[in-house]
Amino acid sequence: MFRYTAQRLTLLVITLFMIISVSFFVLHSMPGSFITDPKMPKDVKKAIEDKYHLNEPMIVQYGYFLKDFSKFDFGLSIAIQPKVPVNQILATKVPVSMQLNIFSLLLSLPIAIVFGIWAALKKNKLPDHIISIMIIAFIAIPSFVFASLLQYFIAFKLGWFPIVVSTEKVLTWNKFKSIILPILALSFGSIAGVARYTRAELCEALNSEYMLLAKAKGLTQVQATTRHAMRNSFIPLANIIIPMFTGILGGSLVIEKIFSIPGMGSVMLDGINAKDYPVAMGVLFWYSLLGLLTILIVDLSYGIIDPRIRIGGRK
Amino acid sequence: MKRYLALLLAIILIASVLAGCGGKEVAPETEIEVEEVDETKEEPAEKGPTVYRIAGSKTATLNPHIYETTAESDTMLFIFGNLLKLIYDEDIDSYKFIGDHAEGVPTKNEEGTVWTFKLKEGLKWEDGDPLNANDYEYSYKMLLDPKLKNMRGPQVFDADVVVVNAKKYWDGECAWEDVGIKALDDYTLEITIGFPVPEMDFYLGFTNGGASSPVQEKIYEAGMNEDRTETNYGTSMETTPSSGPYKFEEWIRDQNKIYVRNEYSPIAEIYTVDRIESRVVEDANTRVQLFENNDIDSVVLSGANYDKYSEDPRLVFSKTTGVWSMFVNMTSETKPFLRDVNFRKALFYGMDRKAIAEDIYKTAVPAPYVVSTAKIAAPSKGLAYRDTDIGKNILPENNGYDLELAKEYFDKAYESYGKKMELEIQYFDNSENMKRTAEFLEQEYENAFGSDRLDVVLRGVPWQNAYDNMENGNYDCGFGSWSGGEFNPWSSMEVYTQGFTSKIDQFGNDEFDKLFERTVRGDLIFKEGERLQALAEMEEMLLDAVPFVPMYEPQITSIFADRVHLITKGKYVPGIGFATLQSEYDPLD
Repeated sequence: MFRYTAQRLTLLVITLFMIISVSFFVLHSMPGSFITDPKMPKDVKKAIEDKYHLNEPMIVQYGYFLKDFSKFDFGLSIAIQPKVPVNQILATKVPVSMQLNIFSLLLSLPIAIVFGIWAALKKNKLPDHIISIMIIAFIAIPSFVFASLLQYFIAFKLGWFPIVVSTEKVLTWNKFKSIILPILALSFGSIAGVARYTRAELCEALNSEYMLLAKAKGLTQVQATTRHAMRNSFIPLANIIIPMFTGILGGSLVIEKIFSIPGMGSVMLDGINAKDYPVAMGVLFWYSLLGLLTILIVDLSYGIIDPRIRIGGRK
Repeated sequence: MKRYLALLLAIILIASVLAGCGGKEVAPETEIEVEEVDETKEEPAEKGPTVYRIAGSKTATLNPHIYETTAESDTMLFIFGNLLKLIYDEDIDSYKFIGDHAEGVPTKNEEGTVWTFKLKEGLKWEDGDPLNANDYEYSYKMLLDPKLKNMRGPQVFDADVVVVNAKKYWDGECAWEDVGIKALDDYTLEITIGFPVPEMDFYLGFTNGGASSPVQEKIYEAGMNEDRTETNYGTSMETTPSSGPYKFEEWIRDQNKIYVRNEYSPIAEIYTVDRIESRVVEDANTRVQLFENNDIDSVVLSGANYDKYSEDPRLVFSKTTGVWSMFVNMTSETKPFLRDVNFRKALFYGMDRKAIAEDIYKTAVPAPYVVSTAKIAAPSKGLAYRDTDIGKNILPENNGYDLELAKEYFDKAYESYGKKMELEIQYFDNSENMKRTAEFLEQEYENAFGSDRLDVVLRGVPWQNAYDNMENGNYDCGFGSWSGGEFNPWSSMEVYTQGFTSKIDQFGNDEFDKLFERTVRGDLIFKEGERLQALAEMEEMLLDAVPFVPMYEPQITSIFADRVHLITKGKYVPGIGFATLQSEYDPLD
């Protein structure tokens, strides 16, 4: 296990380095400049770009980048928040998105699992049909549509919640009330995904031979389901639940825009659009690292969740 | 064991939620205190502060030396002072310059090249530190610093007012002592410029919050890095000291700003508003909902939101300085018909501008001209160029839409070319209205000239690439616009001269360039009548050569809440807008 983890970590570092290197060259190959003033004289524009080494050969720029990158320093933003360190920008935005995502996760997981179990136990009966229709709707309709509808009807028309998120710095009741709608909008998709997966896995487990054996040994349907079917069906769920936990650091571009939430949602896109290379590279690095770690954790979790699965063990 | 593990995970999760929600813990106490104060108020007769609530966009920086966007300059109007201020004067129903940090407008020498400002005594920064002419000199020195390479540097050497040796200093080729900006003493600032300019142009270079506003030396220096190439000035509330009529009470990046009166501002009493609450809201529909919910006092309307209020008497319209046009590659080597002026004139007269302006853009006005209606040609009278007889005489009938004439021109071009023409129109791929305009033109031109003779194809391109293509001559037709200052339509003509480095059209005319030089830096600069005539001549040259087909002039449509009583009575005043901070407000419910 230790050896396997070490191998995977080494591969993770190599992969991350490759992602970052390719991203660097792709981003810097994009046409245009971070300077948007079209009337700026060419020599002035060049002088400003020179300050950031942007007119030097790509490989030289890459050298400068690697030098800072080795210290996890992505430098200062040059466009979206000029002169502010990239890591500081992320440090102020990540907690905002994280707060929403954690609440969304706390809401989504229990509801999704209950719905999934209920639908599986009542397979092809009315509750299953209703839940399945809801799942299809939640998956098919993008979350920003829900966000707009919730904002318009629940906040604007009925006035039950604020239209935009409160600016209070700490979590008061007002603040919480103002983030309920974006939490709901964020949760529908997750609920649908997990519920669908749970239902499918549990249905398969309920029809398996070991369930027949368990009942033949004298267990009731409820005992067999809770002790065997549910435990077995939850193993593949790690595939989608663990990424949900690690994904709490990301933000939703449109939902954050609709509810005026100053989170991570637009940072990546703004950084790329504005040719703010330090910000774009910083976000890319942290998200890539997060993604790779998630994959590693998912893989390692199999062995912890189900002891029958041995990872990296000798034959 | 797994149960404990699950329990532990749940505890960690809840703890992390609470940690994520944490921060400075003074806010709840403050809130309670405010509530208590409110409860003890038993006499409602006392009028509370006048509050103006708005929704705006994100601000990237409030460093006056590097800002770029309108949202930033709007904020700087509130918090940064300058030598002069442009305000609305109700008596003359127009704009007026007053001294802000300066006692009044500057004096000049006989040649008009050395201007002297006298500063008021007792000026202070927000923190009470003295503010004087040395702060101004320091600010200009930093603005032009050769290591900092600030983006707003060109404002002092590539604008209407060109300060002596400013560019050389920016390039690191001369000492600061050689630059024409000097604090002669604590209350006297002398500016030496390269060539004389009209008073209006000079005043505007030192008016309102922006690049020419002072920066506070101790904060600017404290935020400087070791090699003095960057400073964090203007990146947070703490590093953005006020020298203007308002100061920050709160600035949460990308979320909200609250401004209150700056008691040290010498012009604070001009404004009626005590407190400005500005919320960052980027979604247009959310802004409208906030307005309708009485959470904000004004909102900009467009598209379906405009349709909803199109008959509302509270609507007000702001002019813009740009005219959107369809540029034509008049020097195309691959498509010789584009070089034929008859073809370009066919495009000009075959364009139904009214339909584009009113049906697609809704709030725009058709514009068969180059100089926008916002451009003022006689600053002393506040007279717009388009309102002068000369400016009116150039205008073609029916907004330049004449299908018969268009067909005549096209026939000549077709005869000369001799085969079917294929024309590509590029539009910005992020603009639905621009796409609709391109589709409309495709249909209109093919119907008018015959699809057997003209094939129009469309191409969506990112806007930066579209401008790059035009600059490099890699296009047939493409949409674009130049904006500029409201008070100097002559300098705005620079973009069509052959020497302009970021030129997106292919027009080149020596006579045009000479007229431009004469009106901006030459003998016509102080001759109001001849200068006006020259502007009309330049515009005519462009309309004759048709390097671009002018289409429409955008207008910004806003609506104000009933509690706002605009001092301009809804009239848009150049350089001022609607003077919202000088207007009267009913108290909030």
